[in-house]
Amino acid sequence: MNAIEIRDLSKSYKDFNLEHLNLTLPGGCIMGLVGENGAGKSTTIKLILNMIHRDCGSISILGRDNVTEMQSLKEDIGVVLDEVGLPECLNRRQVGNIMALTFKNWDSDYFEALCVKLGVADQKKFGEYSKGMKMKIGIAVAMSHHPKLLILDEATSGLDPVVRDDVLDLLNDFTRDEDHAVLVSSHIVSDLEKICDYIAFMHQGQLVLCEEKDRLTELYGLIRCSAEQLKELNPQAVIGKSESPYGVEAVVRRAELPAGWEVSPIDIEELFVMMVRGRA
Amino acid sequence: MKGLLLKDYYMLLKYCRPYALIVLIFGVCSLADGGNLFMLAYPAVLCGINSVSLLAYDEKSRWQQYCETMPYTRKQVVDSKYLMSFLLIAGLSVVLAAAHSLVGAVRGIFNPVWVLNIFCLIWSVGHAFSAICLPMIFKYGSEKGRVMYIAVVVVFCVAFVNFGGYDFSEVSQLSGAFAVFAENPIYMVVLAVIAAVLFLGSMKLSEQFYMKREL
Repeated sequence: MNAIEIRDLSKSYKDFNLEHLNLTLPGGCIMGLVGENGAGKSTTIKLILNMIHRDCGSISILGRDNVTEMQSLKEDIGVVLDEVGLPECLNRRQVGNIMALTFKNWDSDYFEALCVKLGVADQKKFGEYSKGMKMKIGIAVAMSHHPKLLILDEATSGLDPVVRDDVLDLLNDFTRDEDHAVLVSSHIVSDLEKICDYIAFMHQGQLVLCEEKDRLTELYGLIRCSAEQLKELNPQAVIGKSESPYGVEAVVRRAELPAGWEVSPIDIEELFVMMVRGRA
Repeated sequence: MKGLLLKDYYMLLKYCRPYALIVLIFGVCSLADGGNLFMLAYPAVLCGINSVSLLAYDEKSRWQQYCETMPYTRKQVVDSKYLMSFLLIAGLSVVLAAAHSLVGAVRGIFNPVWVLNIFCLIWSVGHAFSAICLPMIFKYGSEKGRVMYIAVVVVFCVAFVNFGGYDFSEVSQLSGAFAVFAENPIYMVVLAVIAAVLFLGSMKLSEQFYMKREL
């Protein structure tokens, strides 16, 4: 069963449009949502969670409609937003007490264990923690009612590399169960590269591509040439480029490139940056 | 909704202690100066302010967005704030009415009509204040909604400071509409019922506003 299925989803604001988004997150997988600021990542996540009204389209989560069955679905979804949203005066014990009355499946022992594992076992008030520590508590809260789907919006930003690694390990462990899935948006593409099975690129409210991570390096590559040489190529083959006085670097579709071209492998971050520049 | 109420309870304990102290001071003063309406009405206004303050703190910490990720409906979020207001106002009405009864009994001037009037006054002022302020906060947020809140506080305070010149415990000294109200507890009961209906109507209005709001 697919964890998330988005079909023809649109949402219009005065100065931004999310247009006809189609996206599928299979069960047991981690999908990274990549895009520059204002690309539509947070809008997509808010629409998935039915926090804002959509103009058209449909969203199904764990096989259920996200509008009519959202109330019960939230028992199966763990969410970490870019700002965790817990009141600053609460300590960890109080947060646990509130969540125990909120989620049917709240597991206090697991919450304690996660807090210890993530190094937030003390009873300081939430407002006294650093951004990274707040995020860790948010992640512990999101996982302690044993959700089937985790949605994280910029959850690794503000964390130091060691803790980021711990969090990524947690997400990896989480998806060992085939019924579990993760949708994670981040600017730190290297994090997504480490853990994601699928990468979805968003740009100016449109899904530019959504592909298995391993397939991306098979499908796309980097060429270096002169501007004249680039003009000889089929425009469909070039999906992004960066020009300098010394020549051109371009991301190309390997399959549409004539024989004889030397194509270097490209990492996800380069691919993302070049695609955005190519479309700017 | 229990989780929402527990969260608000924790926040009240932390943030609203100054209000509790002021309510206590005014409550004690009202016992000493039994006929001063301002001393009685102001604690009721403060009880109404608590929910407005809690909403402002929720916005500051982005709890409202976070709450959207939990198995709560927006109706429950609105209702929990109104329920918290109701509990505070009802509690204050009972406590102050009981305190005035006790003091009246000790002094040998216990007057059940006066105690009923106190109960109805606090009940009506507290519920009316919440009923007027909360829908604006739910519709526009605490920043924009605060304009209405400040205006209502000013109107309440000016009105009850002006009434402070009358001694409402001495009915014989009152005249006109004041005397009618003080002598006929049924009017105060009707006023309390109207405030309760206004409060319930306001809750439904806030639910509508909050449902449509994009967080």
